[in-house]
Amino acid sequence: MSDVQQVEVKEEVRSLPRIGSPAPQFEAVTTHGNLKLEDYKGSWLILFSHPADFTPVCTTEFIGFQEIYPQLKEMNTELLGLSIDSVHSHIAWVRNIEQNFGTKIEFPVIADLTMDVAQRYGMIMPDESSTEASRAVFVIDDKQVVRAIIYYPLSTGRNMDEMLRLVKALQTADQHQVATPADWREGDKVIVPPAVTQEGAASRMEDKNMECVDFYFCKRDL
Amino acid sequence: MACAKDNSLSETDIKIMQSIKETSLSIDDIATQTEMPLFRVRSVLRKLAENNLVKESEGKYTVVEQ
Repeated sequence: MSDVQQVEVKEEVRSLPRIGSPAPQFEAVTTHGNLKLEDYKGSWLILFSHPADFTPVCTTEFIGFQEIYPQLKEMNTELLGLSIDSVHSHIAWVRNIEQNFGTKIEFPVIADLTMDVAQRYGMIMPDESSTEASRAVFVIDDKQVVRAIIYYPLSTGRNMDEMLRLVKALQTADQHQVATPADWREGDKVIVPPAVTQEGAASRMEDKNMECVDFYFCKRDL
Repeated sequence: MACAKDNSLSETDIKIMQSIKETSLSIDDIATQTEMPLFRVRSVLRKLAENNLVKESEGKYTVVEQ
């Protein structure tokens, strides 16, 4: 028998969330007490991770997320942060942000020391860092379905305007059964789903309420 | 891990308990009355129920007489 004792390593393989799939359920310790994903049923949710407390890029992002929080709430959308830090670290950091920058962080932050939630959502990029979460964003709708996923690296802060634009675009698409073009903003024309029959294509080209370049490329006002 | 567990009631806990002291209310009604988001109300009610401070019946919550 070999002197080297072989250790069997069991690695749990988890599939990552995909757009259109149910968001992985979790229960987590947060700065607002224990929260479950199911607590957010009926609301949209932006679940986002950051690499670490008391770091400069993350601080600018937290201030940014807080600044858009009132607008998100008007869109029935909540914010939930996450990093692989303790709840006491989170508490100290959000207090520090308020003292140093005058911004009170009002949304909860998950203390994911066991990396349970981060693993479920694929927030860790091991080749970048195996001990910190990347800057991941999951937009989860009111039925707890993943609707959009964004990843940014450790070095680059996210664009808050895009968070607002993305949620508004997703909700508009749902409400009006349309799609939104590149750089769409509220008030812009929306994309009408392409016609799927010759008859539909012909009538669409004659529809005075639409602005069609061709049968597959029609826009209209909401 | 903390050296001791803090079991004291927070201002939020007390605010929610006061809203259902006299009458039983649904989660939606508690959220409206306390002006708190639904996720927060659900989370606090779960904790209070685990500590036997509130009880739920037919979707409505009320304070448990101690």
